[in-house]
Amino acid sequence: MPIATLIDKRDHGEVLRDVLASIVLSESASQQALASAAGRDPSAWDLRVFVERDHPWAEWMEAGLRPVNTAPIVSIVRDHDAFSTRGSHVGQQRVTTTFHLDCFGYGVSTESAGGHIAGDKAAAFEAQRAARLVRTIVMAAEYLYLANPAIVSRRFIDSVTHYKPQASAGAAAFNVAAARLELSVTYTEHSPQHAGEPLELLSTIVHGAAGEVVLADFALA
Amino acid sequence: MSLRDQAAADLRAILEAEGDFAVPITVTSPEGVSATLLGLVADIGQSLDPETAQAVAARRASVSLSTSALNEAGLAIPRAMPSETRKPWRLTWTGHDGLPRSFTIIESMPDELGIVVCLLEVYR
Repeated sequence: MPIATLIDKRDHGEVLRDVLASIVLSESASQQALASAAGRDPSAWDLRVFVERDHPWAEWMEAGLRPVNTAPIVSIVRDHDAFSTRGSHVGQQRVTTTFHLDCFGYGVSTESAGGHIAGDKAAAFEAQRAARLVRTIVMAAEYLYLANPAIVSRRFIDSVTHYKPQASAGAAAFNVAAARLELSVTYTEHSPQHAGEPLELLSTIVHGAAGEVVLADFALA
Repeated sequence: MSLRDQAAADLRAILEAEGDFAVPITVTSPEGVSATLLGLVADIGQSLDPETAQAVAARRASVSLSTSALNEAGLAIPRAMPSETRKPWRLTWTGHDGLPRSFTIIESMPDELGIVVCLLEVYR
């Protein structure tokens, strides 16, 4: 028997991926406003956010040829969904999804008063600064359930891995460093179910003089 | 002239062939000594991942210079500068598009026939 309803609802995993992007972007803007109000340079809290992109930092390869936006980049990628029978039933599946929150930092060797600033070091510091900001935002109490308490039961950063993207490894003309935050989120997914039909129950119970049940009949109509 | 000397002379002639691919490159040492030498430049926008042999988005820049020309200009072989308390070697030239290029050294690879290939990163 085919499913009678059109399946046009996004999975909660897709929704949560976009929710993470929205949280990081909005909090970055909020932090910049707080920094400005405190008389500090807001650019230290500026983050650019991308979703499911392979090379969001591609424009940094134009370094030295034309101006580039050097704010750290956060790329949110949905990596792995693990379904569990525990906590699941016919209409509901319990899922733990691992999201990769890749924080990319850009650095360029720059002349300074006393010598120069090494570009590879600057890139690593930028990536770690962005990772620090993202970790703090995502693990803040305000986002215990990632703003979706109806479906999310748990979120936790399992690890942070620091690395150099392959294109920037070795003797590349530009410096990019990265930090990958692995965020696991446990939530529920739903699937189409049958609408129940009300049942009518007919029952007959005959008791004897002493109250003993002598006849009983139950039928569903 | 030995075969080795002939090879070194031929390589220098190729590196410094004006009107061919040679480009005037200004080399500035950490001490501020500058000289403009002819050499070959490369700024390539793609590379191969050595593990998978797949093309990856990357950027590799390099110059090839004559070590004899550097020596005649009073310059040592340019090297990477690990200390941030000193100025690094700087190499500048004008690109084919008329835009200035400014790089510093990541790695230098001299050879016995008088060429040094320098791998570069952007410098400002």
